[in-house]
Amino acid sequence: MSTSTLKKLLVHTYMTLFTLPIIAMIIWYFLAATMNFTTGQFSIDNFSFFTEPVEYAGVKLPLIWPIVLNTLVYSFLIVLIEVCISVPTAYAFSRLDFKGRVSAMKFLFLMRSFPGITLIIATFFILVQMNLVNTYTGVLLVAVTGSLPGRVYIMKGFFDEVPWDIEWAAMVDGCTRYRAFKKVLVPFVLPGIGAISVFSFLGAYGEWFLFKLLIFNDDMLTLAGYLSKLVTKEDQIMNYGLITAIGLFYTLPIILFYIFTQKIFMKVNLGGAKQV
Amino acid sequence: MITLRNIVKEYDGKQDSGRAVDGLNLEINKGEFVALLGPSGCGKTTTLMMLAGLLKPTSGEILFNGKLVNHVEPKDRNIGMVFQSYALYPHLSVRDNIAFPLRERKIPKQEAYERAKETSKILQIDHLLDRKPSQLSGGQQQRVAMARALSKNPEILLLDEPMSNLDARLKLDVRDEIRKIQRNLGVTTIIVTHDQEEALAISDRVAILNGGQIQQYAPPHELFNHPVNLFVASFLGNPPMNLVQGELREMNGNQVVVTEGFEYLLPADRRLDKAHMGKSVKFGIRPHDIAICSPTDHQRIKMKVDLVEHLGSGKLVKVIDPLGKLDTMIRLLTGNEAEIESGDEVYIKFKENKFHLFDMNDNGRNLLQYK
Ligand SMILES: Nc1ncnc2c1ncn2[C@@H]1O[C@H](COP(=O)(O)OP(=O)(O)OP(=O)(O)O)[C@@H](O)[C@H]1O
Ligand SMILES: [Mg+2]
Repeated sequence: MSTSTLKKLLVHTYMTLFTLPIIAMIIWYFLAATMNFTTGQFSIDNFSFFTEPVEYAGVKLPLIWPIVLNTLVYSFLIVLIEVCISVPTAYAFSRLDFKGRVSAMKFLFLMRSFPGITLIIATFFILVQMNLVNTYTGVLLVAVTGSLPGRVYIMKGFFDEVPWDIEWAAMVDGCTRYRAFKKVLVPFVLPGIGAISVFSFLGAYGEWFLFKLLIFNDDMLTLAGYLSKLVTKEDQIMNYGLITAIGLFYTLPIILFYIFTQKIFMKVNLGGAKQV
Repeated sequence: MITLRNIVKEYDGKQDSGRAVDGLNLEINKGEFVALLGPSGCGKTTTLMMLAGLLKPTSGEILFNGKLVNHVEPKDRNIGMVFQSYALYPHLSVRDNIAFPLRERKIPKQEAYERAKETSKILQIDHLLDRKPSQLSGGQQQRVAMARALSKNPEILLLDEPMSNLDARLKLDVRDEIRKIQRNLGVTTIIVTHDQEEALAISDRVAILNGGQIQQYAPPHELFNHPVNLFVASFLGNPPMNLVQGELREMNGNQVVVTEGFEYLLPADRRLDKAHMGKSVKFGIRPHDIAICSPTDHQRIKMKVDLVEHLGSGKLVKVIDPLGKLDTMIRLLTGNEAEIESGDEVYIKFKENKFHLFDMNDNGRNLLQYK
């Protein structure tokens, strides 16, 4: 056996050993969803949530499909709002000279590193004052406020990378400042927009805390909130089969998304790094 | 015609440390090829950016064909510009890059593409139209940038060090080509460069800048032969002009430059105003205006050869004062046939009427005007 094969063998053994627990968990996850543990037989009983509202041990939740719709609408709305606000804002921070730019940026950085959760009580009271509790507007407002500083910060980095020459060239070639932004700068920072879109989407898709706190109608929940309702009712026996089944349904789109986009994202990264 | 009148540019927060451009006056005729030449930081790029409209002058006037354009947006100035980095749009193909300025003028796609193709033929890049900028070599990118600047038939072409990223050989080719295209199209062109050879070779007139001011604005040969001041004289030329510190004196009715090492009698037709006598001057003469002469020649100077460098086309000889009184080394150029070695004692003489006298009390102004 040559040293290189030995090395490979060692590496593989090492990696297998470490991934084993994770693999075991995933397998258990699938089994829990698709097996009846009392009879030890394969069953799809746990997936009856597809066709009827969930109800067990006093927990009553609406049918899942409207919740799925809520989730998609909410997530894409978040992506749209965050991209539409953070891209122009980041451009302004990166390229324009205006009064208070530096202090605004410092504030942004502070907000980005601030643990937002500590503000939640105050936020709640403000929303009550504004009559926005138990509305999507309220949730969107709080969610976007929390995540925007981070998004702007990332986007600003991307804009900082764009050489001034490119923007000047566009202006000499007949663009106004705004058109140069739209026609030349935005394509240049497209990888960045892609990146923050993904972050936004994943953030929104996984948002349960704000729903738990600010939404009282179960039929207004999104999937993450829906799941959390299942797990956190007190004094009851957990229905693990049901939870894992819904969990599986919840995770699947993300896994598929990763499988299909990871190649594209690798390419985007390479393309972004290679500047002309 | 382009006119710059008393242009001043101060960058924000830079007022204290001086002006990037300080009272610049320049006239450029239609169809002329003008170079802005000067050391790093002298304000070349700043001037070009103000011509493009990307920077606004702090004060002064910019006129195109007699019309004030200070507040005209870059997009409305009908200029083409090539940036040092080329600044191609990475997400667009070469075709779309070249057609971009046309599309921004609302020219229909079909026509824009046709004109892009024509322009690309002039620059011999029509086989690259479908590529992305990242798939091109540096030289090809440079051509695409040129094509993009020219496709809209601009009235003025601005080039900011367009050749500084090319290798020496390619530089020569591209230089000739730019000159040829410029002649054919008759487009008024302003090139910024810190390569003096390039500036002198390519342009009708060269403006030498230093410290944000124009030192001299003249055709290349005039700059070279008749520098108006010490800066221009020492900036241009390779090997550089010899400069020796001296003093003007009146001796027996003759005007003489007295240096530590030699005395040089001014010829009768180069007599200066009496007021200049006693002034501290730099005596300047270019290496190819010094000859090795016989020990009997008039106005000869005895020197010792310190070093001989072979340049291929000739020899660069560095001579020093054998008595060690003159602390400046003097460079001269000879043909390859001259048999000369370091350590030799030689006599040198200055070719007639090729010398310059720079007034050290007047910012190095040249006291002699050969015209
Ligand atoms: N954005 C800026 N802010 C402040 N000062 C600047 C700025 N751009 C240039 N300067 C200053 O203005 C002066 C002229 O700069 P400019 O770029 O015009 O020089 P240049 O002649 O093009 O030099 P180079 O040959 O190095 O490109 C320099 O002293 C430079 O430091
Ligand atoms: Mg420059």
